[in-house]
Amino acid sequence: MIESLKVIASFEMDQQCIQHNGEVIDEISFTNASETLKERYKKYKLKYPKFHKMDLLSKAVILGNYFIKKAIPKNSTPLVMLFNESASMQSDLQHIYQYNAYDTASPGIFVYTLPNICIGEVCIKNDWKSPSGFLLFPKEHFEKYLETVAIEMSKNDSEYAFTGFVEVVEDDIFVALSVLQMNKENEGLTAYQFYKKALRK
Amino acid sequence: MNKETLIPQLQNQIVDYLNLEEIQPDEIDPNESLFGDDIGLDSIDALELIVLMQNEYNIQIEDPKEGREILNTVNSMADHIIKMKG
Amino acid sequence: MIKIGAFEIITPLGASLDENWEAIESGKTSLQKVKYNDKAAAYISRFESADFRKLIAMCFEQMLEKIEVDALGKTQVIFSSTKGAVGNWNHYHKHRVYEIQEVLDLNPEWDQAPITVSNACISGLQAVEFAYDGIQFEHWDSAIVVAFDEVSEFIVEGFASLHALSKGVCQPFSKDRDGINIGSAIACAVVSKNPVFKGEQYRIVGASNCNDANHISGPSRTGEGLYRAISNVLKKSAKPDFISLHGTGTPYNDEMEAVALDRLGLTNIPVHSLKPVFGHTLGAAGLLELAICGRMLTEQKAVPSLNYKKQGTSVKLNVQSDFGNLKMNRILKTTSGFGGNNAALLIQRT
Repeated sequence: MIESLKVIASFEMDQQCIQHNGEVIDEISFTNASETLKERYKKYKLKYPKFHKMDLLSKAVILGNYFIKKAIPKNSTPLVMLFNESASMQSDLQHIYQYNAYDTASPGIFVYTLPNICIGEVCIKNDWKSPSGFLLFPKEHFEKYLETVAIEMSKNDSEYAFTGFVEVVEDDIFVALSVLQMNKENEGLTAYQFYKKALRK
Repeated sequence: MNKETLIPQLQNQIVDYLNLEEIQPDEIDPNESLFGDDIGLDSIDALELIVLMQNEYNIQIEDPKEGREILNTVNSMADHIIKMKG
Repeated sequence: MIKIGAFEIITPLGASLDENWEAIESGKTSLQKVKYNDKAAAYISRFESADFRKLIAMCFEQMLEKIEVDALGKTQVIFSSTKGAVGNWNHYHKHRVYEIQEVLDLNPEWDQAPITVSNACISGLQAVEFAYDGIQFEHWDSAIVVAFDEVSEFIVEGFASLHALSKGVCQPFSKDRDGINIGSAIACAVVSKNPVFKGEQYRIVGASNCNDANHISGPSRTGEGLYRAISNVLKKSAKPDFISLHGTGTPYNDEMEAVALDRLGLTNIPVHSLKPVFGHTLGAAGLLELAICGRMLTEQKAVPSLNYKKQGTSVKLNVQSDFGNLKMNRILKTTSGFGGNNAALLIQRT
């Protein structure tokens, strides 16, 4: 079933560059993830002030969304499923630091100590009342992730899915997002081909 | 402690605590509701302001509902601080 | 027919589903007042000194005894956890959910890539939904679901900063409700189309989840996501005879559920929340509470919603007040969580 999933738009980002639909569109001089994402927010004029309150995972997803969202027709509600290995590690560590250093935790940090909040953020931005889920897998189990995506697309009758791997900590960014379409005729990258290449790095 | 120094101090702290990157501190009208259309804070921001009061001024706000009145404007925050700190 | 069964749970109330059910019959709660820092106390449900990983392994083994392992066929393992047993970690190794996969005796014939759902408080129920969907679309014959979460300073400090903790035992749907309690729990179950169950088993009629697309921590005022999730499930089913709601005891959550039920015309159906019994067990909640729903169907007994005093939702709900006989064929379980998720799942007596 995963053979029927085709990539119709993609976004990849790491410490070196941003790729949109497989082409390098932005070279990065990486210092840290916060700065890099903030610079991109300004460069692409995202105009979404809530961005600045978000955790790194959500910022990365909102940035990727800017590039690939248009592949999904306006009246369509896609399945939204993302995965990574370490869940919300960056926010977790910040939260632990915060309540140890101060008398109280920061509510604005705590709400991001769940990896699925980035899904909430992209659904809010796009008004997608979607079936959704965040899963944890080591990178090498991406096929099982795609299998789960395929099952849920069938179950929900979703023609499109907003999918990907999003792992961001202060000293590293590794993001590979794609819009998948079920049973798209013509040639084009399959989801398997895209993620196999994107996650090999 | 007087309002003249407190208000700009609060404006800076609010921008800092709430990551209001696109707003200059002096753009926050001290008399306008922080929760209105202008600055547009939400419920989590209100809770962060409670943390601000605690961390920066050692003032506890136990009840978020009571908190909304105190935290409604920069002015009301300043008034509360002056009242509590004498 | 796809069924769920072999439920097993371990909570501070008991080391098995049977023990927990007995405690529920006696009206017990696992919540106790605990001082979590200098300033405040909270009612928390936690294991006193046990090694959480050992308890997960124990629950898993006990669950396996309730099935014919040889009859499973092609098997997928699905985990559910929001914090993966954070415990007292102060530096990062690897996510604890992978450690637990190593601790359990996973049969080498089962699929070697377990799925871990980390979707906030709907995770436990959504894990069952994925198990069911995978069988329906013929990817596997059976799925083993293991859900767990543990109380920790991490979680308590976090909810305290949200002013979301109740000063006492939570009071879902009540006028004076003031917040949640946190609890630790482990729950396991098997979902299968094969004849694997030695004991209790229930048909899964339908399952669905939907995002509110409203706010990352506050539920939709119109209960849109929950409304859609329940609507989807009820497309394939007659109305349930009982609804086990999420009922965390916060002003917003409980009101949202009442609004959603009102929109669906379901406010006459008896409801409860199990949060005053176990606390909010986060990634375990959906499966833990579904296990109790299963036992309710077997025993034909309704578990009450503890601590309900006065109507506190804008629409009146039929809040179950006593533990007693109730004829039930179908129970609907719902959960909602941070990130705007909502899930619903309906089980039926076989």
